[in-house]
Amino acid sequence: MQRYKIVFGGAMGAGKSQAITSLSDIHVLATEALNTDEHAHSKLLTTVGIDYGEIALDAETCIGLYGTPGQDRFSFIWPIIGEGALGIIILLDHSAANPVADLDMYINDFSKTSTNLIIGITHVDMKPERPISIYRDWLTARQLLYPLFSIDARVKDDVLLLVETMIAKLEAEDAY
Amino acid sequence: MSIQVKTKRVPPEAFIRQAEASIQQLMGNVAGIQNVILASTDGFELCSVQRNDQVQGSKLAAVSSSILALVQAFLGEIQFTGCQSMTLEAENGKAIIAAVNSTNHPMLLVITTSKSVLLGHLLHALKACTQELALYDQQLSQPQ
Repeated sequence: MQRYKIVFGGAMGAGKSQAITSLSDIHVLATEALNTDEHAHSKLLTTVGIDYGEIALDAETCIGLYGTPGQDRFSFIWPIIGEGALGIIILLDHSAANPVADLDMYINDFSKTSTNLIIGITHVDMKPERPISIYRDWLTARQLLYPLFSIDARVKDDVLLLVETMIAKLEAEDAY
Repeated sequence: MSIQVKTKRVPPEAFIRQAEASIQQLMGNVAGIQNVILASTDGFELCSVQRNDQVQGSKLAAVSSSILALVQAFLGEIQFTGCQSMTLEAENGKAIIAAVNSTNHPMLLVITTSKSVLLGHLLHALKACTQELALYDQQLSQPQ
């Protein structure tokens, strides 16, 4: 069996742990602690180490799903977890105070670890007045062509779309 | 009608002052301790007493919270429970990360020491210190 690794990075509260839980075939290993930074996010628990889940794409292919803590004080662990990954899925919370600044930060950081980045925008329904185009505009202005989707991290097919896009992108790059 | 009593997620100032005094006492009782940092389990430095200013408390708090969470997850996978502390031995010193099992505010202590510290003495004093901190937190945390 071939084993690969995909990393979920991005903003606190964007749904990284939920995305892995939605997708994983196994019980997810989590490293959560009480969230004491209620200014950043009101959620009760937050990932401080890694999340780990697995999904079998077919009988011959298994993908390890690694989640990272979102807060930049944990940025020391991002390149460690990202080592050897097929690519990195960056999740952003559309309802956050400044999600474009978040995009900037995570692209800058994770692009040092991997060139294969996929962007997922979550919680779009919580801020409907804010256009999704702000992310594409930001990427286009910097001539970045990363695939970008709005997703619901609770929906397995939505998260699977990000994973399949990453693999299709790799296959396309290999073909050239 | 049920009443839900909640405490604030960050321990009160009175606890922090008491914790600093406890840490000073620990450092006075055990020779060889260089730095002690009290952190929340989500990686924020709450207070510290440092004799070696080369240590960046905020960074150490974040790294230590990750390590403790990872080790606890690992032990959970092998059905081990109640991880209270871990000791890391390097060529030039030791580092210990110990859980402060307070119900209201779970925390951890990070201790760095010289190579020559008496480990048994340190672990005994550290256990008393973490228990004392958990008790203070219980006494000093006010309902929200």
